[in-house]
Amino acid sequence: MATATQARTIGAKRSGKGSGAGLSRRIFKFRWIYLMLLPPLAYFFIFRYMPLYGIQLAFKDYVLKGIAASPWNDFAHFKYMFLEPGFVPAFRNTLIISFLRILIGFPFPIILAILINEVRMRRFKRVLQTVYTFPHFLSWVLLSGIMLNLLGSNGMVRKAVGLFSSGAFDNWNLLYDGGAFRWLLVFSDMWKEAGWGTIIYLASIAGIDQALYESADIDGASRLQKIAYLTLPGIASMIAIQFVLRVGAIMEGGFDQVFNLYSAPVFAQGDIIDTYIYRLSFVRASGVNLGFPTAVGLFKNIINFVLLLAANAFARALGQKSVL
Amino acid sequence: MKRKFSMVVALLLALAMIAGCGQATQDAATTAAATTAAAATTAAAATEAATTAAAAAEATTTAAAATEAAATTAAAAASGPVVPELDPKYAEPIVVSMNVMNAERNGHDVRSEFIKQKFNLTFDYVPVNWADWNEKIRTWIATSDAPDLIWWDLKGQQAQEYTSWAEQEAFAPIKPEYFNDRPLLKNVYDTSPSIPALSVDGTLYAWPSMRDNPADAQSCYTSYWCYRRDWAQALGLYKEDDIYTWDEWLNLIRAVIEKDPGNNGTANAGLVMPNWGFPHAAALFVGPPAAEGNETASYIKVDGKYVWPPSLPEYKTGVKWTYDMYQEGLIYKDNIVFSASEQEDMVKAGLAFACYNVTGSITNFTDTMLQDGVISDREAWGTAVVQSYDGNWYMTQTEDYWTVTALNGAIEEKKIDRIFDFWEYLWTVEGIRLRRWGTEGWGYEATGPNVADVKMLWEFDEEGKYYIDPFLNKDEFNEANGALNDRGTTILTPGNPTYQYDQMMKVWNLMASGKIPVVVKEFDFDVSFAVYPNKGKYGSFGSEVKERLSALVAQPGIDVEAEWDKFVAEMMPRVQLVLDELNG
Repeated sequence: MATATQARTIGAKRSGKGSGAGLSRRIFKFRWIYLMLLPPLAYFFIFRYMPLYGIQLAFKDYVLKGIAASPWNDFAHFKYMFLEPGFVPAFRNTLIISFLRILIGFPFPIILAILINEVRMRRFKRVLQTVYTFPHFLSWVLLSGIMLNLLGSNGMVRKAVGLFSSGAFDNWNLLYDGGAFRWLLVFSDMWKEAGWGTIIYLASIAGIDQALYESADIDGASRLQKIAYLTLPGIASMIAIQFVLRVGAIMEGGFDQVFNLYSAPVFAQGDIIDTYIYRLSFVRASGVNLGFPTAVGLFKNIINFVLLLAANAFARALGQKSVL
Repeated sequence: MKRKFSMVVALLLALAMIAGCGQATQDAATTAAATTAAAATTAAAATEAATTAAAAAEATTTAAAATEAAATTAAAAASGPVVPELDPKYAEPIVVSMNVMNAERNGHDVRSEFIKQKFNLTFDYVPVNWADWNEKIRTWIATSDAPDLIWWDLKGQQAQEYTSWAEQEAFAPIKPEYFNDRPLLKNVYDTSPSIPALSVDGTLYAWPSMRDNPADAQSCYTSYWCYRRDWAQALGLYKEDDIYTWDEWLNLIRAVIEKDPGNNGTANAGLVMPNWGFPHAAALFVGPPAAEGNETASYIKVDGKYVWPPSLPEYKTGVKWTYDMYQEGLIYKDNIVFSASEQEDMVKAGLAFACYNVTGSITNFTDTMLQDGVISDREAWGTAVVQSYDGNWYMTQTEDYWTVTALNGAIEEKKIDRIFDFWEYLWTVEGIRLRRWGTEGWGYEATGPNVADVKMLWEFDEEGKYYIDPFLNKDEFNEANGALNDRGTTILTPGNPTYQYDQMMKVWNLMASGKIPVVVKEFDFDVSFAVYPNKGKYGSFGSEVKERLSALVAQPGIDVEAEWDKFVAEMMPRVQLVLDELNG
């Protein structure tokens, strides 16, 4: 049966006309399956492609009559972007925080996935997965409250520290200490998202041929050797893909998290482009100018796109799968 | 086993969903009660309505609101509410959308029902809250998605935006001819100083909700400290009439933190402030630096020239006081990361001593604290009059209106017509009474022609001293904002004793008495609403000042005055652009 199907496919490929007819026939035959593609297509068209029309706002002064009626402004938003005293620090903070997230936060789910995979008791393994994954489903609004209760002036951490010190940390608080704030962002993000991040790696590990592990056992490989020579190479392509995607989003500093955790004392270290633009657009008295945030968004996405291409080329150079 | 477990989980989920629908059921019960009350003409009918509402309340998961509605309905039993007759000119029903606070509480009482019956006018409520109000309006305007009535906390800082939107026809003009047959509104139009300020090239685009404070209040902002009077008394530091010198005030806060009269342990907080007031309220709002409403970084005239207050020596002194208070712990340290209603929650939980800006919601605070057993007497929580470090008591004057209501640029004329008729009515004696007390026969009985000539039908609280406000939306009857009105008579009448107004009156009477030196930080319409390119672009740099001050107070061991000088020097090149416009 399989051979007959293959023969029909090869035959269809040889004849261009037949190929088109075959494709139409196949689409018609599986029309209900293809129909299921329509909602996501509509979604992408409406929410991902149609808004591209609005990009021109980056080069215009928005007026209420609409985008088309808004006059061009000679790159005024881009000039203003670099003249605004807060922009460059926010740009720098975004890069630093994202870099720290990649450096420390990126390997963590991989390590966690490998550790979970090594647990032999299936029930315990499932409990661990659930426990690690759960924080992902809590919003940053809620988590910021939890953080305040943990780390605030009357929080559990301060009380615990108070047991061992007499007033040494009275004036110190992680939530509004500029030096500690970036680390707070990185580690709280790891705590929230690492469990969720393990899912894809665990799935990848599950796809590794078990015969390889059996062979390694026969050869007398230790567990660490199996991790080093079987598991890690087995998921290397997935790590590369995740890395490329992560680098491609380097200008996304995590608005939800930062917005809910930061305060004025840590603006110098924690204010990222998104929060800065939010304050500029909605908090300051000058009011909304839709063109300016659009210009910044465009700027961010161009950087993201360039980095995505660079990371992709780098992954390919290392012999890994290409994302693009 | 697995199947049974799944069924139990599914059942629990279904129950959770039903519980989630409780609010709607409650609202329905409340609506039913209110509607029945308005329609009832005899005591028997009203009593039956109360029974119906009580029965409905039993069916809800949260019965408090419905029970309240039932109680208010029962109040009608005294004589029966007056039911208005529908004027034939209002035959066509009109639905008007409008943004309001606590939308879920609106439209469920006799006032709304009265409006519907008298004017055939129904409101479609669009929710806003203090935190997102301006953001929502900006988004609505930018996307042409605003409600018919755009209720806005428009202050001078937004004048540029307002002007620009008006010029772009986001708002419908409020034409002088609207007042031809509406003498009460015309009086406001002709006399209020805010009308010219809100006019763009001679055309008005937003209608002010006039403050209903008495003349003695001089349109001063009703934001000051409210505090735990019972804690001060327990510490033996309570001062007669709640008047404290600066040193007495600081010593009182120190004593509260040290001696912990609330038995809160380490969780004791001294001063807490709403996000917008942090950290200015501690020393700058109540001290000499100039202020424009909630903004201390406006522009003021000194020796005939406009200057930027943060650059003045008295502002730096206020900064130093704020810094010292924060570092000493008199200001609750975590207040710096508050973003919503944490300060209010702390007070209501009995964890904080004093909170800024709650004068207008004392009832809300005391009700909650009494209900939760945090205080045993309403008077345990009240206003404090704090004299600043120079001995003066500072009050901040603001616009003569509270908020404004603009008409959507696309609103139909027939809606405008109905709305203005409704607002005109709200300025009549009967309208003022409706806004404040409800309908005649339900909330009050008229005994004479003046607003205050009434016999109240509201119930008294357990102490028998103050009336219980029967409305779910309390003071937030936002549909009536077109006519917040009558300069004091509505709230200062002897027919309306509520603790909240007692406390506000006390402050205003003190202002008039001359007992302590009062300085009013005067509001300047000219500079506040002046529209210039750089002023529009930069405003008064209020958020920059707030950000830097907040950042500085949290850093221990710095020379805050030197740091402030550096900040001012850093800001002046941009500030000067605005000052040049104003002084030019």
